[in-house]
Amino acid sequence: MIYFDNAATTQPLTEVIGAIDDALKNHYANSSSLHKTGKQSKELLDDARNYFSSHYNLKDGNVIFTSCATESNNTVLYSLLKNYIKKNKKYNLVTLKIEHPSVYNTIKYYYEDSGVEIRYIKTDKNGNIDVENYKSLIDENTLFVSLSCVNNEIGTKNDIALLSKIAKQINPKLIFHSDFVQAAGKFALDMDKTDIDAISVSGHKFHAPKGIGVLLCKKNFKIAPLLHGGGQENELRAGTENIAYIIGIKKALELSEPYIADPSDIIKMRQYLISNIQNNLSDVILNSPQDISKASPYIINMAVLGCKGEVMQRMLDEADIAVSTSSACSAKKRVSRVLIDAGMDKSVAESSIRMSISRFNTISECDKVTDEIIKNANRLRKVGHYNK
Amino acid sequence: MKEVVLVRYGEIALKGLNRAYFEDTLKNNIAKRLRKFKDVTIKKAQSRLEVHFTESAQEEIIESIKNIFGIAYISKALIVDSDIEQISKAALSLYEEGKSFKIETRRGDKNFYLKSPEISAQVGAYVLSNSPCAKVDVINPETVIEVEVRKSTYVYKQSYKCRAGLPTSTGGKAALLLSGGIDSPVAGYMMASRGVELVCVYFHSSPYTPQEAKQKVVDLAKTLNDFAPGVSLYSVPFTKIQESIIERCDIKYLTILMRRYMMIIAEKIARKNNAKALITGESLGQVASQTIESIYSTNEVCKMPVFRPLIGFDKINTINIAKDIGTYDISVLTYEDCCTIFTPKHPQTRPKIDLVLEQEEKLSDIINEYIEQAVKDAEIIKF
Repeated sequence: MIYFDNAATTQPLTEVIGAIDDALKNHYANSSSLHKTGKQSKELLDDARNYFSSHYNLKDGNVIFTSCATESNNTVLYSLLKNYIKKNKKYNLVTLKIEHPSVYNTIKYYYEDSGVEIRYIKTDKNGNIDVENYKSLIDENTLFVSLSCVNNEIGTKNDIALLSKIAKQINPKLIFHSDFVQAAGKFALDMDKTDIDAISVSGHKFHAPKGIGVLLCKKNFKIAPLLHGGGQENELRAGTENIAYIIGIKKALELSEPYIADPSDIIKMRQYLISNIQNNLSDVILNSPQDISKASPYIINMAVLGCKGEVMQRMLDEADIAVSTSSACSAKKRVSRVLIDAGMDKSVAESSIRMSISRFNTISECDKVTDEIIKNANRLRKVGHYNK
Repeated sequence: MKEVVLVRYGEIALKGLNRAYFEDTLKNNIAKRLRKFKDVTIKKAQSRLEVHFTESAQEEIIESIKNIFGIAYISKALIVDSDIEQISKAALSLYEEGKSFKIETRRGDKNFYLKSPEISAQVGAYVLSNSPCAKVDVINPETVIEVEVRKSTYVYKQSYKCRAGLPTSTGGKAALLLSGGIDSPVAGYMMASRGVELVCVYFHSSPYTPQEAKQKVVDLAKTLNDFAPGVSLYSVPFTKIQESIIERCDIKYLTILMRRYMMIIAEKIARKNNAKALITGESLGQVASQTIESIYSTNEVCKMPVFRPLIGFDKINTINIAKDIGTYDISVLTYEDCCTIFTPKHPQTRPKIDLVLEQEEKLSDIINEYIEQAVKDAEIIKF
């Protein structure tokens, strides 16, 4: 199996599984317990929390372990409703239509009919933000800005340090949140030196298991917990801490550090895959930004014109190659909402596939994938005209 | 006094010398469905089948067999000796205190010493005298307790109307061309109601069609199996043939050519299974491929009779049956199937046979091999 669907989820690392296994066997005590072994668990928990604080240089803030990034995003959006929005005041939220469903749909759920205005920033077809439009949307009533660092389908990379700075220059009181899911374990971020107030992270996108996420936020952002109970996580997220998975996510991030520092191999692989396909097959459109400074090298979204993406995906699957047609969280829908909202023609969106690579993929896998795509494209294009 | 599930049949009762064959077949069909209940035995008894059990829940047994063709009514019954005292006690045990009631008697055993009205009167009197609040109402009773006097006597108050028809396999076997649409499952259901055992044939166009499209047809076949036990499903890979038609032939003829090859393949599968006919869900004029000319053209490739029970049906009638039998909600799931993924803009709706043959000639060097391969590679799913 050639696994090119790492934006959907990644394979947990052996070292991570080992660390979790060890924790399950030896550090199963509840970190709230007062006995020695409970205190040991507490130390491990604090150690992981400190590691995340230091990794993202969060000097004064909260590191909250959650079950996933969807929970982290929901917590942020619920906190606004609970702690910030006052009756009879005008507010607006600024975000992108092409955000992950856990932001896009949750904003709609909480705010669509609440009187709070939702403002969507214009992007180009590659998902790049129109900065002038962005500036024009922020005003004194802007309560909140949410921008992902890396778009999960197109791979567009936003300069969230710059965008948060711009936002706060216009309205210093606003809260700037970033869904950092496709960036964690891949890009560095210094929260102290930027105007970003909160980020959401998910372990399974960087080789930890599913079921563990993190919400990092500065002290000024008042969290309203979604879960109430035993007051864990500094009263911000009740529920017994999942020590084993917290150790696992820490381990996974530690092991990602060399690749955050030097992503050159991944960048080479991306460039190789793109040019290999484009040089050997006509009518291929790169939906991700060409310019690597504006793109995550881990996500390559392209349209093979005349070939339905979902059929191409099944054909590749038959050849034991795993790719996606859109976000795994919205794969049941036939055409990617994100690609359509980014302004792509329906025919381009329908013929798009997402290949998302990891440091464990190889150049020879890129060759095999290219060969299969070419073979399938030739087959599909013969009949494609009649394939509705 | 013993609890049984009483099975009554309709049309079978009218059969003459071959009635035992129909009864035995129905008994076998019910037995197969009840195999999961270890304590169940089935007895034939004068135009009735008695399902005896010790531990199993009566409701579960009824639920398992209520849709089987050949059954007209199912009742939760008490079986007692044909003795007026025992009958009366059984009726009393079924009576719900406070409700108005009526006793209805059929005396199958004409040697029984009381006539039907006398039995009703005596049993009714017993119930009245033993229930302080009981009230007889022969016009509009809240409860009807039925008494059937035979060798033994059945007493019951609740009967379920079933689907009647003839027991599966008494009408032979036929291959049903089952798509994911609304019509073909209904066509299969209608033929199954006449005792036809179904071999379903589904054509898939993987990888153009998703796995869900096949699952949908599996679910449809499973639903049909509920009425006609013994359904099997052939999932035939059809992609290669479709791609060849598109590559070599005039696209206007795509639909008609596809349907002809489907009929050929279905007939081959029918022969392999000792089936003697084909069934389709065609309804005249419904879509381009269902004009008389198109049907003539597809019919022309088969030697077997092709049953088209919906041919004169209005779509609304078909939808109503589909809803009744539980296939509608499955059929309307919008997954693409082999007939919808490739469609010419302007299909030939009234194809002339010589022009169709001319198109087929373009595939003459490969098509037989592809057809044989499709039959050979078909996946068989049994229920």
